[in-house]
Amino acid sequence: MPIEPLPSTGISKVLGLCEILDDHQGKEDVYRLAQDLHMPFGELLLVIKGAEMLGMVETPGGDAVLTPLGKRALESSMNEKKALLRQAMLKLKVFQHVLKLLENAQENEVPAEVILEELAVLLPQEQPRQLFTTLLNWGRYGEIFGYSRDTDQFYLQKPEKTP
Amino acid sequence: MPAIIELEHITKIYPRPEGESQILADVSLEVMDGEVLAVVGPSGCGKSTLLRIIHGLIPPSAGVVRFAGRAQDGINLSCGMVFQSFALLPWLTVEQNVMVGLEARGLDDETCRKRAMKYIDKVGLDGNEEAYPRELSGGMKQRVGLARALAVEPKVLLMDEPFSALDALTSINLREELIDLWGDPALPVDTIVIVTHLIEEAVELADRIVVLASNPGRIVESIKVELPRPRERKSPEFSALVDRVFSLIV
Repeated sequence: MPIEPLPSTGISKVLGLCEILDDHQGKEDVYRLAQDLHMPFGELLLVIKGAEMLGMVETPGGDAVLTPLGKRALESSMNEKKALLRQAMLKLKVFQHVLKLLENAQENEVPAEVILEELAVLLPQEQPRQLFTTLLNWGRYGEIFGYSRDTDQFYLQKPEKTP
Repeated sequence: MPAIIELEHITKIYPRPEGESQILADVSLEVMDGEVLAVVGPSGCGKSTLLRIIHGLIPPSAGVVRFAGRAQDGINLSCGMVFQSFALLPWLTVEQNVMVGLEARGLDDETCRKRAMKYIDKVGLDGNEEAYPRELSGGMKQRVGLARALAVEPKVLLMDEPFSALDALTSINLREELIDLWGDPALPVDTIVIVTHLIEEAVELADRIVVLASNPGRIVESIKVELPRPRERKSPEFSALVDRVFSLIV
């Protein structure tokens, strides 16, 4: 299966979409949703695509439908929600690829430039910088990997225990 | 439920070259311990000014603010504030932004760091500790604002149009998460005062809605919201209440 690019959207929007669908008994026409939300249709499509890739929404025949996983995420605590999304992200090839890269790197760190080059090679039709930003934002939310602007290094996330 | 905050005959007047401008006129209000109170009203009705007077950031021209029965003088350290514009320091990371308010209260480095990490976790920001504000979406920036306000472990959380700068989907998500945090018994904050011009937001979040009129700002009605939580945004009762509040504002 080819590597699919991540749509340029955020996890908060994906979760907000799930909330809205839940308000509509789990299902709504995509056009009507865009009108209700006063949101550009193209932007909403990116959110729906993101939610679909994470398994939280399905899109049969012009509708957006909340999946059991999406419903479960809404009912979960913050940390459970993050764990669910982490698992969903790790099913995506682009995350698997970057994760492998980091696992095999010395001290599990690689320069951001390497990730950008990898993305450009893997997905030549996409804007690597935009994809990098989405990958980083999703990966940070899922606590899969982190990035330090100070060192310009991508690194494997080691979740810190909090009291 | 006792009152945690009491405003007695609050008036605020600003001097202007063309004469005095009265922002608030004789506002008396009680905020009950443990409630979510929304203050709604048209632009310029003084709702943000009222919030800053509650926090002690600006003094009233006349009237008294009491907190837990005591007259307030200066900034109330039992309150945390969340701003519409996020008010983050761009040269600091997420973790450092959350620690700023703690350092200002004289806590040692280790306590500051532990406390910051606890609230970064609570608002779902873990993984972003090293990020700078410019790397974050609006929703994530406001999570930092929320973590910073919660980290000082306030009794009362004051929120000034916290979701107005966000898109509809992000703000729905954050509103849900705010109510989850408010219901979290592990957090010291149990009272929220939120200023908003979005009536749906007020009906979704609040136990009580205070409606202000403008020129000058004054209370026209206080409405108890008795809809069960979680609120059904599409229910006829929800819509009826939105309509009622709307009719008081226009």
